[in-house]
Amino acid sequence: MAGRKTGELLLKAHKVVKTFGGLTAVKEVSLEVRAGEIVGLIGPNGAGKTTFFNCLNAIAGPTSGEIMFAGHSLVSQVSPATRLLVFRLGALFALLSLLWLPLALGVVWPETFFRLEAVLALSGLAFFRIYLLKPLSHFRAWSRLLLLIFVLADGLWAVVWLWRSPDFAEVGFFSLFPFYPLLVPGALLILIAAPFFLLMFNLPRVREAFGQHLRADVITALGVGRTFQNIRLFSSLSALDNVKLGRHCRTRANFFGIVLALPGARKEERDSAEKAAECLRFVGLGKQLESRAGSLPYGDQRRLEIARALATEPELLLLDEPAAGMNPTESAGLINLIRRISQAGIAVLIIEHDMKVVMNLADRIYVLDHGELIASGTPAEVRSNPLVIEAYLGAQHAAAQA
Amino acid sequence: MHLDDRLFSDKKLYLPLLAAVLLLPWVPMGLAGPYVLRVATLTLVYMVLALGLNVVPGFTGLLDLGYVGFFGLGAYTAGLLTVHYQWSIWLVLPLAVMNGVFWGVLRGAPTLRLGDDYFAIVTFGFSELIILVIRNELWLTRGPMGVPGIARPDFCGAVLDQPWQAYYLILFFLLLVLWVVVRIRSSRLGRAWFAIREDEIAAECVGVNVANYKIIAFALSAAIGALAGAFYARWFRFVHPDMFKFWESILILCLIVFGGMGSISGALLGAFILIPLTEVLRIVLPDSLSNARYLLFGLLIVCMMRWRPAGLLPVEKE
Amino acid sequence: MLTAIFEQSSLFLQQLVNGITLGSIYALIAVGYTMVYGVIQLINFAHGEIYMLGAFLGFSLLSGFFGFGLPFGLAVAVSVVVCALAGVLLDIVAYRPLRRAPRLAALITAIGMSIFLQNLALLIWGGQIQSFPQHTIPPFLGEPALLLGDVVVSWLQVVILTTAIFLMLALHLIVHYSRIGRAMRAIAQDKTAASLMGVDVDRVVSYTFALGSGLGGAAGILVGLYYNAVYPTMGYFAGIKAFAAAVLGGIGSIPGAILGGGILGLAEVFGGGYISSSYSNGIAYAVMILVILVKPTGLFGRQQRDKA
Repeated sequence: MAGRKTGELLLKAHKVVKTFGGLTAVKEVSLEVRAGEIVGLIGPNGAGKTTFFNCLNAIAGPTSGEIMFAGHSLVSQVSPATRLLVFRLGALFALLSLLWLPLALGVVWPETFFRLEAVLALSGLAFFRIYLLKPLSHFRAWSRLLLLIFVLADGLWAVVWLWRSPDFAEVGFFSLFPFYPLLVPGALLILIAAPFFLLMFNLPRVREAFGQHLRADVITALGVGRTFQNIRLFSSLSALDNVKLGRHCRTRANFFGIVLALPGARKEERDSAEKAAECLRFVGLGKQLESRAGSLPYGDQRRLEIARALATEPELLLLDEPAAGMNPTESAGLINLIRRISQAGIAVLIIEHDMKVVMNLADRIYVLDHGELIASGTPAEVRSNPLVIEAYLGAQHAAAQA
Repeated sequence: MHLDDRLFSDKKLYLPLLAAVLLLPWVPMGLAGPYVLRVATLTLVYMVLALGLNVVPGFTGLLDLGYVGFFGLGAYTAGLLTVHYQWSIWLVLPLAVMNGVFWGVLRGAPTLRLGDDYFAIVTFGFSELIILVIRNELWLTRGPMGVPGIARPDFCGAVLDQPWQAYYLILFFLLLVLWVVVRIRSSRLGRAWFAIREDEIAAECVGVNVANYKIIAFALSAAIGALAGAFYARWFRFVHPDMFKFWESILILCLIVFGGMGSISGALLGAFILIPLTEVLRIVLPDSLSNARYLLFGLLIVCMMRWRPAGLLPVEKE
Repeated sequence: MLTAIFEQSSLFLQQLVNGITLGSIYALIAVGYTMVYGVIQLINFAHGEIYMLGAFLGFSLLSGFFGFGLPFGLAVAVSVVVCALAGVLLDIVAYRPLRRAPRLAALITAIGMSIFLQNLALLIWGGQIQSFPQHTIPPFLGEPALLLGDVVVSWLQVVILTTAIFLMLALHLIVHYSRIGRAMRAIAQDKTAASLMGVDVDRVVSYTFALGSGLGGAAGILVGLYYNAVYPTMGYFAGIKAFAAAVLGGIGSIPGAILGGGILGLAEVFGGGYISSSYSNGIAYAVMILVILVKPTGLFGRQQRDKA
C-alpha cells in the first residue's frame, strides 16, 4: 500500500456514460472516493450500479466520461469511433503486409505463390475492405465515396480474375503491374515494419495515446480489486489457489524461471502461498485452505472472493452486493470484515441492497436510479431525501410522507 | 495430494515407473522384442503429443481440433531440413520447434476473443490448411510422394541406429516435456491458465493478462507437438501427408479425454492404454477394415463424455 | 478475339450452372447445422455423417444391397425418413444426456459420434467408392434439359435445384407458420423462458433434428446421383463445406445458410476451375476461418448478447 493520507482523492469518476445500443444504462454519473473511506452505492434493481462497476474496471468500459484513479486515467481521451478507425487501419496494414509476401514471392516462384495470392485476394480482400473501411463512413462524404470505389474495384478485380486468369498465368500477371520490381523490397520493408507496428499497439503509453482502454488486468495491477454480484470464483480450484491467483499481478516469475526452478521463482511461489494463507485467515477461512472453492458454503464463497481481491493488494476495493443472500449473523460478520479492511487502509466502494449493512458502514452514499445519480451525502441525509424514498417506494409513498 | 503433483516428488511413485521404462528394451521377449519396442517408442511419441495437446484444452479449456497440424509441421520441418542439409537432430529439432511456435502463435493471435466452438473450428480449419499446403506444394514437400530417406537421429556424431537408442531418445524428450508441464502446472503460469479455463472475466479481474497467457499456452502446445513431429520424422525416416489426417487429431484428443482433460498422469495413462491397443487392432483387423478401429475411439469418446466426463484420472479432488 | 470471349463466357456460364447446383446442395446441408445450432447452440459435427447415411441408404435401396430393391421415388422417400429418424436418435442417444453438461463435452461427443458413424458405414458398406447401377436411375436424369450454346443444364441439375427450392420453401413454411416452428424460434430466443411458457424443449429439439437430418439425407442422395459416387468419407468434406456455408451466412440463420451455401458452391466451382483445383477444399476452410475471425456473426447472424 502506497501509504496515502486519509482524505486524499483516490477515485474520481466524472460524467461517466455507458450506452448499450440505444439504451443508456449509466447517465453522466460523477462520483468520488477518498483514501480511507467507505462509500456506498445504492439504488433500486436495474439502476445501473453493476454496469458502473464494469465501467470502472474496464470489463465493459464507459462510452464517454473520465475516470481518474490515483493519478492514472482509466479511460481514453479519444472517441470510440477514432479508436476503431485507428485500430482497423492497423489491422489493414497488418493484412497488407501478409498479402505482400505471396505477391512478392510470386515474382520469384509464380507457379506457387501466384495461386495462393489469388485465393487470398478473392476470398478475403473484398470482405476485409468492406469491414475495415466501414467506420470511415462515420466521418465524411468523401470517405464513403472512397469506400464505394474500393468495393467496386474489388468486384471488378474479382470478375477480371475469374474471366481471364488462365491468360495471366501464361503472360505473367506482373507485366500488367508496372511497379513489380518494387514488390520484393517493398514486401521486405513492410514485413520488417509490421511487427513493430503491431508491437506499438501493445505499449501502454501508445495505447493510451491512441485511446485504447486500459485492460481490466492492468487496472487490477494499478490497485483496484473487485468482487462480483453473482460470485465468480474459480470453482474447481482450491481456496488457496484462488487466492494465490490474486497474487498473480504482484508476482513476476516467467516461463523459464518456473521450468528451471530458479531460486527467485521458488521463493516467490512460497511467498505467495504465505500471503494467500494470510489473506484467507484475515477473512476467517484459515481452516479451509485446501477445500474446493465451489463446494464451500455460500457465505464462505463470498468471503473467499473478498480474500482473492485483497490478495491483489488493492488501494480501492469494489464490492458488488457482498451481503446478498446472507443471514443476519453472516452479514454482521461481513460488516466487521469490511471495517477491518477499511482499517487496513483500503478504501471501499460498496454496492449493497441490505440497507442495514450500507447505512451501518458507509461514510457517504451515492444513490442511482435509472442510471442517473439522484442523491448523495451521509447516510442520514440520504435516508431523509424525498427523491431517494420516491425511487425506492414510488411517488405516492413519498407524497404520503411529505 | 494429486497424482500430478507427485510425479517428480514421490519416490515410491516415480522410481518403479522409471525403472520399468528404462529396463523395457532389455526384457527378453524373443522374436516379439523388436515389435514391442517399436510400439513402446510409438506410445512414448503419443505420450508427448498428449501432454502437448493437454496444455490447450486441458489447462486453458479451449478445444483444439487441429493438433496434428503441429505434429505434421514439426515432422516436415525436420524431415526436409535433414534431407536437404543432413543436419544433426540437435540442430533440426530446435528449428522445428521454433517453426511450430511461430505458427502456433500466428494461429492463436487472431483467435483470442473467440468462444469455445468457434475456436475449435478455426483450429480444425487451420490444420487442414497446413496439410493441404503440404500436399499441394510439390516444389517444397514433394506432396503425395512423401519425403523418404530421412536420416536417423544422431548423438555426438554417432548415428543412433539401434531401436533401443531411439527409444531412450524419445524417453528423454518425454521426461523433458513432463518436467516442463509438471513444473508449470503448480506455478503462477499454470494457475493463470486454470483461471482462464474457469472464468475468463474473473481471471482478468484478478490481474491475469488473458491474451498473453493464452498465447503462451498456444506456443508451448505447438512447440511440444513440433518436437514430437521432429523426432517422429527422424525415427520413422519417412513423412507423408496422409500420416497427418484429421483422425490423428481426434486420436490424440481421445487420449486426453480418456485419461482426463487437464490431468497430466491421465494423458500418460490414456496413451499407455490406447496406443498399444490401436497397434494390436491394426494387426487383428483385416487390412480393409483397419481404419474401422477408429469406430472404437468414436464410441469411447462418446461413452466417456456420457458416464465419466472427467476421465480415468480426474484432475479434481473429490 | 470475339470468339475467344464467347468461349470463355460459355465456360463461365457452365461453371455458374454447376456452382448453383452445388451451392443448393450445400445449402440443404448447411440448414441442418444452422437449425441445430440455433436451438441448442451445438455444432453437430455428425451432421455430415447423416448426409453420408442418406447417400448410402439411397444407394442400398436402389441397388438391392439389403436384398431388395425399391422404385426410385420410394427409395428416396424412405431414405429421407430414415435419415430424419437417425437424426432424432442421434440427439436422444448422444446429446440429450449432455444438455446440462459444459458445452465442450457436447462438442466432443459430436466429434465422437461423427467418427463412430463414419466408421460404422465403413464397416457396413466398405471403403471403396460405389456408384448407382445404371438401370435403377430414371434414364431422363442424365439427359440435357436445356441447351444454351455450349452450356448444358442436365435434368438432374434441374431436379436438384427444384428439390432444393421446394424443400427450402417447405422449411420456411414450417418454421414460420406452424406451431412447432414457432416453438423452435421461441427456444432459439430463450430456452428457459420457452420451457417456462410450456414448450416441451426435448420434443422441439427432436423435431429440429428430424427436419435438419431429413434435408441432409435428401442432399446426400442428390449428391450421390450428381457425382454418381458414394463413399464413407463423403460426409466429412461436404460437412465441412456446409458448415463453412452456415458460418458464412451467420450460424443460426436459415436464410443465411441458404445464401452461404450458394456463395460457397460458386466459390468452389470457380475457384476450382480458375485458380487451382487442388485448393478447392482450401477455399472452404479459408472462407470459414476468415469469417469467424473477422465477423463471427456472418452475413445474417444475430448479434451475440453480452454476458458480462
